[in-house]
Amino acid sequence: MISKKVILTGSFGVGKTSLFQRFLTGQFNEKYLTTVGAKIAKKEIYVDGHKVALLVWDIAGEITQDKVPASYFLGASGIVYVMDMSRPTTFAHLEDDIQFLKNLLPYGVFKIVANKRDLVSDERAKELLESLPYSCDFVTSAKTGDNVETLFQEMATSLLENHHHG
Amino acid sequence: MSTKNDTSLENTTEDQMRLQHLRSILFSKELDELSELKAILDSPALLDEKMKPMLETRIETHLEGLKKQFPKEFSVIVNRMIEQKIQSSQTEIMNMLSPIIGQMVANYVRHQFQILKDSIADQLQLVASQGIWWHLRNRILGLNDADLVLSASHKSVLEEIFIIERDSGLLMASAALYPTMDRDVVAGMLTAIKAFVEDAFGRKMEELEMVQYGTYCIIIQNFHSYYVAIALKGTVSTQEKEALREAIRTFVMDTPNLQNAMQDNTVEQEVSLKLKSNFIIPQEKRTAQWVELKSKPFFN
Ligand SMILES: Nc1nc2c(ncn2[C@@H]2O[C@H](COP(=O)(O)OP(=O)(O)O)[C@@H](O)[C@H]2O)c(=O)[nH]1
Ligand SMILES: [Mg+2]
Repeated sequence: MISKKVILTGSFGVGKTSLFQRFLTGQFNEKYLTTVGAKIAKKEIYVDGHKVALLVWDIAGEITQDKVPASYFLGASGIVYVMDMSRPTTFAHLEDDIQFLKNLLPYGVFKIVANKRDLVSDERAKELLESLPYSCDFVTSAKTGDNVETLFQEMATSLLENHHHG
Repeated sequence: MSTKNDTSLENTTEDQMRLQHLRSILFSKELDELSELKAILDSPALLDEKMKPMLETRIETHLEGLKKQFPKEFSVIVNRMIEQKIQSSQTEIMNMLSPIIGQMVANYVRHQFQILKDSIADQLQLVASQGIWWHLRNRILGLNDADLVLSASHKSVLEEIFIIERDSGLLMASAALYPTMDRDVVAGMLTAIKAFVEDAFGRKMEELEMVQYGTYCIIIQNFHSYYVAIALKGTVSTQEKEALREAIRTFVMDTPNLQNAMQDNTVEQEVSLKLKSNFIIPQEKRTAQWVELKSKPFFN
C-alpha cells in the first residue's frame, strides 16, 4: 500500500485540529483544545480503486511557519495550509509561509484552505478570497463539514498522481 | 497559550480546595469558636464586656493564665474532635486523600521497581562477567546459560521492530510478536517524539537513541535515510542492548534491498518477514534464543 505523510499547518486557532477531527470522526467539537506537539492519525482513502494511506500530522500552530520545528515538515508529501476566514490576520503570512514551505518541500502537493466559511457572509467571503495572493483551493467549514471530505479526497488523488508520474 | 502554567496553577488551587474542604470537615465548629474567642481576645471592648462580671482583682492573672493555657487546652479538644470526626467521616476523608496517597503509592512502587531493576541488571552483569570458564563449566555440567540467567532474573521480550523512514516517519518494514495497534501511527508518533527531543537539544548531531517508558524500552539505531526502532518489554542489560545494536547493523548490511521497501510492496513484505524470523522470537523458542541474543548476533 502507498503511504503518504500529510501535514496540516497554519496559524493557531484557524481550525486545523477541527478539520482533522471532522475528517477522521465526522464530528465537530466547539471546545478549543490547544494542540501540544503533534498528533498523528491514519486514514485510508480509495482513489480509482487504489488504496492510499494518509498519515495526517496535526501540529501545534505558530503564527509564522518558520517557528515550527522543521523536522515536522520534512518528508511530507502533502501540505494543507489553513486560514481562518473570520480572522484576516491569519491570511497575513500566506505568501511568506507558502514560500518558506515550498523551499522546504519543493515536490510537495499544496492545498490552500480557507476555513470557518460558516462565520462570514457570502459577500465578505468573496471579497476575502479575491484579496489573496494565491488562489484558494478549498473553502471549508469544519463545523458544518462543508468540503472537508473533498479536501482530503483530492489531496489523496493528487498524491497518487504525483507518486506515479513524479 | 500558557497551558503548562495554567495546569500547575489549577493543581495548586485544587489541592488548596481539598485542604480547605478537609479543614472544614475536621474543624468547622472549632474554627468558628476559635475566631469568636480570638475576636474577644483581640478586641479590648469585647474583652471588657466579657470580663466585667469577673472579679476585678483577678482579671490580670486570669487573662494571663487563659492566654498561656489556651493553646494547650485547645489542642486537646481539637485532637479529640479529630479522632471523633475521623471515625465518623472515614470515607469522605479517604476520598479526599486518595489522590494524594495514590501519588505517594505510585512513587513508592516506581522507586521499588527501579531498585528491583538495578538488582537484576547487577545479576546479569555478574553472570556475563564470569566469562568463558563459567560457560565451559556449564557445558560440562550440561547446564544451559539461559536457564541460569532466567532463573536469576526477569526476562526481556523483544515485542516489536520497526524500520522507519527518517523524515516522513513512514513505516518501511516491521514485525511484531503480537498483533498490535496501528504500527503506522506508532511509527509516526515515534518520529515526532524523536524530532521533538532532537529539536529541544538543538543539535542535530545528538540523536535520540533510547526511549524508556514504564517497563518498556525502545532502542533506536539511526541510519542515513531511516532508523530502526526496537520495543522491548522487561529489563534490558547493557550487553543485551549492544548485542541488539550489532544485530541491527548486520541485518541492514545483509538487506541491500531495504532501500526499495518504500516504493515496492513486495520488498516491504520480504524485509518484514526477514525481520520477523531474525528478531521476533516465538514464545516456545524464547528461552534458548534469548541467550544467543545476549552473546552474539543471532542469525545466519
Ligand atoms: N464556526 C466555526 N468554528 C470553527 C471552525 N473550525 C474550527 N472552529 C473553532 O475554532 C477554534 C480553533 O479551532 P482548532 O481546530 O483548535 O484550531 P487549530 O489551532 O488550528 O488546531 C475552536 O474553537 C473551533 O471550535 C469552523 O469551520 N467554523
Ligand atoms: Mg490544533
